[in-house]
Amino acid sequence: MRVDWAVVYRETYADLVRFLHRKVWDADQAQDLAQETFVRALDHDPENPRAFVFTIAANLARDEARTAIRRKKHLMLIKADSADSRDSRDGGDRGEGPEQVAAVRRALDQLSERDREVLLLWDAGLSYAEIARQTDLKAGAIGTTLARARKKLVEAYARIPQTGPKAQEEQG
Amino acid sequence: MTHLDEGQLHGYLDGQPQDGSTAGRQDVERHLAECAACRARLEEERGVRDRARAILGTAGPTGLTAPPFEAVLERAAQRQASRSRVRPTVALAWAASLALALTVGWYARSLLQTEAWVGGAGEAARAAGAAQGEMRADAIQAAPPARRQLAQGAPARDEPTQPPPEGTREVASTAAPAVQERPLANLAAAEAKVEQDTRLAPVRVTEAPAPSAVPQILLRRQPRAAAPELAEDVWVTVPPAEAERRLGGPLATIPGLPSLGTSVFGTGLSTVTRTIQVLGPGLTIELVQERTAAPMRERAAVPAAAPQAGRALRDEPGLSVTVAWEGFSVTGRALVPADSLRKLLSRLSRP
Repeated sequence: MRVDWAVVYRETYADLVRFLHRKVWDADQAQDLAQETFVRALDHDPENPRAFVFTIAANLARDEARTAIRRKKHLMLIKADSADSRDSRDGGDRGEGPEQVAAVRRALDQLSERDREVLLLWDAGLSYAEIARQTDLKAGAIGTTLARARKKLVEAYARIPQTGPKAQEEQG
Repeated sequence: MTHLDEGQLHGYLDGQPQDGSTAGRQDVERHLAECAACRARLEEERGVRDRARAILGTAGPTGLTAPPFEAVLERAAQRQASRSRVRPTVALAWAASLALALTVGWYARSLLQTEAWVGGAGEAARAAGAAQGEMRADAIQAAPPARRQLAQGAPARDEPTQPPPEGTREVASTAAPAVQERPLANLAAAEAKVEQDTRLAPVRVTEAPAPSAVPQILLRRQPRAAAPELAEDVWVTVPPAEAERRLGGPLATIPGLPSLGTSVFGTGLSTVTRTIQVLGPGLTIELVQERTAAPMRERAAVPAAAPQAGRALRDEPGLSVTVAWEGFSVTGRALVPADSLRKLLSRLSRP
């Protein structure tokens, strides 16, 4: 049975962009990568299209992060100036400013790579089984990993004062 | 049942089956029903989960609408198009690299053989080298120094072929010194070509050697005193019989190789013929035949050629070997090792 990618696209797009945004931290780029993800998926006929899409997206985001770390930082600095108008244009954030996004980003940065990945995949709507396949973790370990990741995120976020750099101290 | 761990609690909260070591949903519910501590922890974890979800929810674009799926299809189509453009290029580049490797290797091999031949050619060749001033006898035997000299001395490939200055014309027009001198010149040409090929982009290698360079060079060697009737500056393609008539002697060809035709230039004693024969796919040998004014043995004693003649010949593509045949001098030129070229020329016969 052929995958109807148009349907998967409609149902997954928003989750995918959100997932990608939390990896690349750039709304435009997240949308671009989301499209790219589907471009690459089109030729395939996987059993689980949704999980497949997130696998591609995770790889794309990883490559992107590797190649463009510097550019990203630069962009963030530039965006910080003009982000208000930009973000509202980009997709109707619920009015959260760039400071809010930066705070979440910093909190997420405190998590280990694996914890962060599991957390983001869950947030993107994947099941435990799908997350397990994608991260090479045992299915029974996802709940534990997710519990730890959530706790760390909450704690790290709570430690981030809106100004101070204290949050950098603890690392998971 | 022991108390539930965090993983079980979160799995339960998330509505996800906990396969693996511990029990399923019913077991969790059974335990929760009888364990107040775990119920309390469940609520605690629920708070953590909701809080984490809320935090994450503040950090991303929400309410996105997907662009039409056609945008993806279009992008994929563009990708496909650009890929089909790229692939032949990659294949060509690969083929060109291979061609480069083969060409360089072939030249390197034939250079060694050419050197050996030059070394055995005796004093005349050495004298020729000495006359060139820049090529010493030891340089003839030792390739690397020669290559260095040639790399400095060889003219750029794109430089137009200069007509030999007046003073060198007679030297160039006598064939015998050329016979002795050509291996050197060709060594130079080949060396220079190797030098250049290794610097050039691989695609340049696939360019066929321009055969037109040959008649031009010969053309400039033509103005002999005894050729007043030389009127037309054109090569005419003629049947072999007509070529023999114009030459006034047998036409040299290599038996067994398909001929692409013979063209003739000039008349009478200064008639020159050019015959192209096919050695293999994409590989031809060119035979340039002209009457020798004096027996070859006598010519061997003629003083060595001036360096200018060698320089002009350096622009010739490929390797060439000249032999005496039936009162004519026949120069064969092909991109094959020098020993192969000599072997081919040893089989010359009439068509």
